[in-house]
Amino acid sequence: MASLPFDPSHAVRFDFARGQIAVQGSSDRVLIPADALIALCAGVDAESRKDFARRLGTEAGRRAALRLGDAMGAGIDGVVEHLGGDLALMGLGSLELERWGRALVLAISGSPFGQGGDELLAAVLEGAIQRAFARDVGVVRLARDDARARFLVTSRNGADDVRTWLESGTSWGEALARLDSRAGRGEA
Amino acid sequence: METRIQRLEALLQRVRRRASEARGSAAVPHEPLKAVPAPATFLGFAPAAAKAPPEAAPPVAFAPPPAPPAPIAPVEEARPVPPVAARPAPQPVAPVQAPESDWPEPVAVAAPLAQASELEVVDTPPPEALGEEDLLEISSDMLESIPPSGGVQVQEREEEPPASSQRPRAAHSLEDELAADMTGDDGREVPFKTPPPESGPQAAPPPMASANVPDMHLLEDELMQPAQAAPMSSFDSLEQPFGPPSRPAPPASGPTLEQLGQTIDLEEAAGPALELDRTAPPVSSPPPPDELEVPLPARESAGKYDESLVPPPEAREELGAHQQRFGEAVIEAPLAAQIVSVPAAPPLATMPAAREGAGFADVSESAPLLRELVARPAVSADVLAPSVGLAASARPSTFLELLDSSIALGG
Repeated sequence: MASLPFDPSHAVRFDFARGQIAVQGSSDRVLIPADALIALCAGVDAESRKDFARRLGTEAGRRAALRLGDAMGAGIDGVVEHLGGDLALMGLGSLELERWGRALVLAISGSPFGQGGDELLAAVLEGAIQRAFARDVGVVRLARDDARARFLVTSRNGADDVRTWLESGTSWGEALARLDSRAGRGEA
Repeated sequence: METRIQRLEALLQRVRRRASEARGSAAVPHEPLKAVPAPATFLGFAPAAAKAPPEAAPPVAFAPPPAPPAPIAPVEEARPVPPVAARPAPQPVAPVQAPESDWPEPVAVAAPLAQASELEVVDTPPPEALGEEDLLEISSDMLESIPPSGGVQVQEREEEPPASSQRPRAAHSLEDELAADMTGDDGREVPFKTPPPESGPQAAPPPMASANVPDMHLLEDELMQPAQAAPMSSFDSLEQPFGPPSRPAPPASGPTLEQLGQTIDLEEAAGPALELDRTAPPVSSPPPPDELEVPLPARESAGKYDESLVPPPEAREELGAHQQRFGEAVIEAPLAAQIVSVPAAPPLATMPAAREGAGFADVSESAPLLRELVARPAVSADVLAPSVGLAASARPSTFLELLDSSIALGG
């Protein structure tokens, strides 16, 4: 299903007279250093960090759903276009989508948080997908290189299993194959 | 001179007429004033003229009026028409010129008020309103000092109203007074002020008089002779220890000396004359962007292709048919050198292998040169590993379908 391209015109407004920044359709924004935000998040517990990141993703998912119109019937290209546009407006990086078999993998490149912010990005994606498509998903980071991180989007149980496999030393490709084979056997 | 005499005679007649009317009607008793032992000449002053300076006025005594009516009555009865040269307006006390022959005789003249015209002399307050201090007596000693040829010539020093006084300025001559009466203009300048909204119409201020324009010659003379400046008043000398006087100069006095002293005459420019030339046509520049708009950077992946991208296996047949149709030669080249760019790339940067369900194991180095490939950045080696074991699946039509299938993997 074809969708209109993402139009960032007038999406961000800087009101210099009042000293305010606004993203279209959202509340006021604040420009703060990314490292300061990471340092702040490092000082709180994991659940608080996840709640904070989910709230950011909820904002992006809401705006993407508004632009898509019929989010449930939106194509892959349109979702990546608009959801990636909103994440780019937030300065979280560039979104890409990969499909490995039946697995949905979202890749974000150019994140200002670096490796220490992948947990935040995973929670942001969870909140965005949950808000836009009304699906309760679990997002786990598969791999990361210098500027790119891959996140598997699956169920919460599947995300926990993949996280366990990765922590045990399994490569992320093998984890995906194991997940696919388990689903084929009907063990999940 | 004759006209003055005629006017004064007319005035005197009107005074007589008024006096006769006052006698018949006024029954108010007047308090007797103190008598003076040996007055030679009596001058009755109106209350407004009672503050004459002592050096201009003779020794003061009090003269009793001869009768309850006005003090000018005896004069009228005693002598026909005394030549009185009155200067009503400018001086509070009008100079009285007594007759040459019998000037020592008592002469009582009611001096006009400072603001009143000569006709108002008759309307001066009756004698009962005069106090002892309102009457002056000219003693014989003073009369001796008067030159005999000119008769009695009492010249009061011109009284100047104080700076804070709101009294209007008196006329300088009888003609001015008459002209003011005829025209109805009292000669006062209408103050410059903004009328309140509810005050109604107000007299417009007169145009700027030429006298208000500063004389440049006088200003230049003052600049050339700064030492001859006017001496400071007592107030200026008092204000001197506390700095320069803060009172602003009158607005119509022109530039101050300090301002003129800082004026520098600039010479005319000595450069070449201006020459008009055809100006270069304006270069059309793009309109400046709105300050509230922030241009977004272009995507790095747009228009680029990954070296490692390979065509899907089903495209080989189409590619071979295309080459057979147009007779293009198949160029055998290594895969790493097959980098072709296209004008635009789809916004969705997905892996072609995953999209089309083909694995990297199907790629061989002997693949023909491809013209259209989807750009993707290089992937690391570990990316290629899981593609072997994944089963091919059809491309979902919607994102939600792909999402559901991925969720189903985790159970």
